[in-house]
Amino acid sequence: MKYLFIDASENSTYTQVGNEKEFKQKTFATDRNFAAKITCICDEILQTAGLAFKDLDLLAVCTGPGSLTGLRVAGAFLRTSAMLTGKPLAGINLFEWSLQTLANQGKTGPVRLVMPTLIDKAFEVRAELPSVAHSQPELIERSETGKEADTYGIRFNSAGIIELTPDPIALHQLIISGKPATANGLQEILNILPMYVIPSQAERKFKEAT
Amino acid sequence: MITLGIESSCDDTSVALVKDGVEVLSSLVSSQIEIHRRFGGVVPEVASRKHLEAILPLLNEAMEAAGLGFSAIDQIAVTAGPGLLGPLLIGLSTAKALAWQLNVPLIPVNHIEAHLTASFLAVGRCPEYPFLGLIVSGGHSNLVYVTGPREFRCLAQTLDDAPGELFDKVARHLNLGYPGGPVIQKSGENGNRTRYRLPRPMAGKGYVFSFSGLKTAVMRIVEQEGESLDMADLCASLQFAVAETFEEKVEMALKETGAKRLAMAGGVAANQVLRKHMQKVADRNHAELLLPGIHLCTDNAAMIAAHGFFTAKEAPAKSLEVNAVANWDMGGPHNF
Repeated sequence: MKYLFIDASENSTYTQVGNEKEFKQKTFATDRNFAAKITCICDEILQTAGLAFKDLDLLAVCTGPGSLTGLRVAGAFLRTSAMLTGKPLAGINLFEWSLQTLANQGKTGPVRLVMPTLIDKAFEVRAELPSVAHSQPELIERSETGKEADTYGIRFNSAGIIELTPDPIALHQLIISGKPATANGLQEILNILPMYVIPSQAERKFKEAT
Repeated sequence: MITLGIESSCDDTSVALVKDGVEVLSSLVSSQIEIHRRFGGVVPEVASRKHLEAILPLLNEAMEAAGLGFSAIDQIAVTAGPGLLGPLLIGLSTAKALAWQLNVPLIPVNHIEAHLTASFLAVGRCPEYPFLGLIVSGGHSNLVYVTGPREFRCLAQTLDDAPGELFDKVARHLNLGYPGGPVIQKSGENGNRTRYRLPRPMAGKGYVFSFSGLKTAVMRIVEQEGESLDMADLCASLQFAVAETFEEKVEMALKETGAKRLAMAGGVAANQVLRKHMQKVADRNHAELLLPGIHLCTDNAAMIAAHGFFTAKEAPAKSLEVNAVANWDMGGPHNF
């Protein structure tokens, strides 16, 4: 199974192309220019792997949490590509990717993951390793992230938190395992959306003001 | 030649298919107006989320309504600016995926330029140059002399608020609702337009608009009148002041340029009072007034497709690498 994965949740854009046996990865310094470069990025990573788009069996997109604009651009591009070509689209969030990373390190039992969002908040999920299934993300105060043992911060370092960087091998295993939610056809593709704070910050502020 | 148009610069997601730049095969708009009404204006983050949710179903509906498959698309025109960056990027990224997958040209379109092409599309004609263009919307108040597909000479623009912005702000102040233009028009339908004396901003001062003083003047009247304020008369007086302001500048431009066509575009071009005044000024100067129907005045993808068709030759060779841009002057270079 040949796949193409794009993670635009950060300032740089991470891409990975692989099959059951191997994978190749490449990070692009796109900063705020990701939308301009998206087709070049796809062309380049596919070329690196010696593949054409038509060879792919699966498209995969990081659904966050992270840069809302980046997630939406990658989402819009890959959702449209999946719809046009009839290829399945997997949405992979950073929680399951991180849990797979921890499972690969031999960690077992209850674990708590946190990741900053907005200005003063953080997402929090809980899981029981080695399973990558996790609770619904809750929104907590940023100041509360380090209050429990076995708390891992995704790309986030703070007092009482172990910093965790989701790694390419875990991503590869996750995609090949078929565990992430995978959409086939337009109706299912519509469910692959970036992981947002709901309601949005603007809606929350509006509610507070009224 | 079938052009697919995509528009997502503000709070309307729109997809259209246009044949040869003049025949609309399908044109669908998914409006977010109800979502943003409670905020009294468009919230970019909320709009971006809704565009992403709406765009693919709308694209499929537009294809179905035109009775075409994706393989029938010859080129794709997409709004690349000006507008709200987050919303613009949804349309642009979708269009790039389409162009990349279907291996057809991508034409980045300036939304404001396309509004003028809408006036010709409304009557099924190719744009005929030169013509005078008046773009009036929530973000624009531009009087331009158009000599070619992307050739514009800006004659006048606003120093502060655009007329749509003025209507929105006044409507919010008067608790009339959102968007301001339609509610002010409705409220002023049977009002006396000469009841309240409002200034004609920048009258006699050449090619320049300014509407923030008009807003202040309206607010002063509201304060002075208190309980005795007549809402219908105030709304009628405000529209009259706006229409006369445009009438003066447009008449001056028609005389100076000798243009025989006047195209009016943008959301505020839907205002009935302004339309009547523009008709009068066009008639007086023996010019043809091109007024798009209401659905082509507001943001729509049909005008994007049509303008894309007529400006395809001006599109950059590496158009797949174009970025969205919040501010993009008419006729200005593409943003990379």
